[in-house]
Amino acid sequence: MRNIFVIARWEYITRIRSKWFIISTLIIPIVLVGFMFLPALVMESSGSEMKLIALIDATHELSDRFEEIIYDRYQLKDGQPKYQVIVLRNHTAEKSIETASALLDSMIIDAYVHIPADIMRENNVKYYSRFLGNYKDQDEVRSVINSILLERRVEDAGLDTQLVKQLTRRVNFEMIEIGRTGEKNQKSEIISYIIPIIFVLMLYFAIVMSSQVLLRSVLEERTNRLVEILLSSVSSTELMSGKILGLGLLGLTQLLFYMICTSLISTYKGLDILTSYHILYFLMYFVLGYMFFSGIFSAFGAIFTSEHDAQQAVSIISVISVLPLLLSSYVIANPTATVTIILSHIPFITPFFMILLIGMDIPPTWHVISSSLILVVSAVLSMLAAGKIFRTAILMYGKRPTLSEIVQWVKSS
Amino acid sequence: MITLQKVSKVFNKTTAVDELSFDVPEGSVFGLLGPNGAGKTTTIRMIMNIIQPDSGYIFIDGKPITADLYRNIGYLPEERGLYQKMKLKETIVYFGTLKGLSKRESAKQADRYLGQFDLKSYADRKIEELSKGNQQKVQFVIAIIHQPDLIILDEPFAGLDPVNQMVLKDIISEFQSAGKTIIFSTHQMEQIEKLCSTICMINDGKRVLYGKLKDIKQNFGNRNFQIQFNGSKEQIADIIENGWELSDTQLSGALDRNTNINDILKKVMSKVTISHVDIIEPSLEQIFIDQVKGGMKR
Repeated sequence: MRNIFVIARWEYITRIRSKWFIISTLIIPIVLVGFMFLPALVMESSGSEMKLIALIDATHELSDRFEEIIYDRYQLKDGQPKYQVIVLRNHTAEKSIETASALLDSMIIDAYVHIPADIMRENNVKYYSRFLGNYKDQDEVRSVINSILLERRVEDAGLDTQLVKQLTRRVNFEMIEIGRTGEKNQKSEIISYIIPIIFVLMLYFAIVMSSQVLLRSVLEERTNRLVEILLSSVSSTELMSGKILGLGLLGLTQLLFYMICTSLISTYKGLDILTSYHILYFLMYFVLGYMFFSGIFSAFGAIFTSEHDAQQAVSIISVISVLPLLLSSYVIANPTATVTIILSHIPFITPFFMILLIGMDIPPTWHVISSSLILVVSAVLSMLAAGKIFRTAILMYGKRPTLSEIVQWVKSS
Repeated sequence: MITLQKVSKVFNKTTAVDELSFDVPEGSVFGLLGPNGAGKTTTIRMIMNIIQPDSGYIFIDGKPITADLYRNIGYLPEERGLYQKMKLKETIVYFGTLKGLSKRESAKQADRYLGQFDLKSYADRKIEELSKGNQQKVQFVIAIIHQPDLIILDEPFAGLDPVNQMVLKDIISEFQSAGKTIIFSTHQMEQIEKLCSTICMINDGKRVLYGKLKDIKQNFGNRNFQIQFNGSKEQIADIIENGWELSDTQLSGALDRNTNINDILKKVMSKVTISHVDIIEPSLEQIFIDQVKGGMKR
């Protein structure tokens, strides 16, 4: 036991201070923060700055009303109007457009709107901006013009403007998501889509990254033959266990760090992103998933003689392990589909799909139990098989074992 | 200290070690000799319990080898490597703790040997910054840091310059005078002729020669004699035996067990004047080549 801890400690300490580990650990929270705050930042900045827009009104009749409505309807937080409108009144519309383009190019105005003379008939308005990414501004300008045109048409038809306004008022649409437990979560749409993805990324990084570090570590000792010195000090089982334990703790450290970041962010944003129920599942799926993957990866490390040799094999298992990430968007779109349920019972995929579904509050208890049972059995089998392969393969040089030989080792007691 | 009884190991239908038996006496310097591919490293790996023999027994102090005996053994493998990205001293300390030393004790020993090998200034450098020869010294330090009673060195001199070979030999004689048992494995037989008291020579996994070095040289080695003389060679032409060579000033040939140098000298002396006599001890290499007839060269 002492040797296992000595090895685990060495693996843990030498890896945790490596630049590579620190960088790869920091990536996730940065992405996380980006996802959580960028949309909000965009919204916020658009809400705090006054926009200058030019209006070219070829009808010469609508501009006053446009200004009235837009000042009245949209205000900044401090009560100032959100839009400042410059009405361009040159001799011709063409001249005005030229002026407006020049103002836009020199970044004096944020956008300009051209209302053509035949607007009542053709119903076309042009909105020019340097970038059209800000849907909110466009929507607001459009809705103002819509209102003006509606008023005009109602008047032209000889109807009561107030009555029509009353009759055509829009419904207030408040979005509320109901969780499986029945409580109401008020979340923005974007966040309820991103949280499950972030859950998968967190677990994926923690499991697959640390398994890959394990593979590298076994390969390194094998290619530089350090393994002989190690095996003259400890048994192969101790060596493998120590490595798996040490690098598992490394992955766990990473996961805990992610969870702390997530809960900090969720507290800050006042959201219930990571509950203690989630944390329990994270820990369970990390342990099981890591057992399963680390068994496979350490056996791979022991089989191949050189990094070069192992490269193809590594790329194959990398593809297999990336699969759950690639399939995540399907699962989010179809969380209760039969395909999702079937795939979630494949041990390679189980931890990631289940944490995804748990992030969405989807899976019923039987689903969690049945998929976890298969994962538990696979994880134990993976460990046992890896132990046998590792013991036999770790000192074999010169010739890569065939698949049937490997099967033979696993079968032999 | 170590006993091998009819130990065999087969890899993929190739017999690497074939019913090998020998004893390594306690406190001796033992040479395991043979050409490349003779089965030396396999034998050592079996002694270290890294691989198990297919048949036969290995005992250390009369007991089958178990992991707890590792703490008493230092092993320098033939194929050597280190963690290139790690710092020198912490790597040595790590291997010391794997051998059962406490961290403090391990650090103390590491400091001591780094000093002895002139590596102190590298203690906190990454191993990849060290020259090959220095890395080899580090590996030797790792093998002996826990003060083992048994030291197994597989090709320890390969790749070391003469100065460092001397440093290594000094430390080995230090261990020897401290009563520790040392096993050398090498194909460079001339390297250890002066170090070993007992040898086992193997070829193709089989034992070819085994015993005290002195006895082997006496029993198997054909010593050669060279007699230089003044006088006419025709006068001694009649005493020449099969295989001897005679030139104008020198008579030379092999001394086998039935021939006594004194008898030859008497015969020669009576005819010509002897100016110089040499008896040339056989080299281990020569003995080996003689034993493994069939053109085996190293």
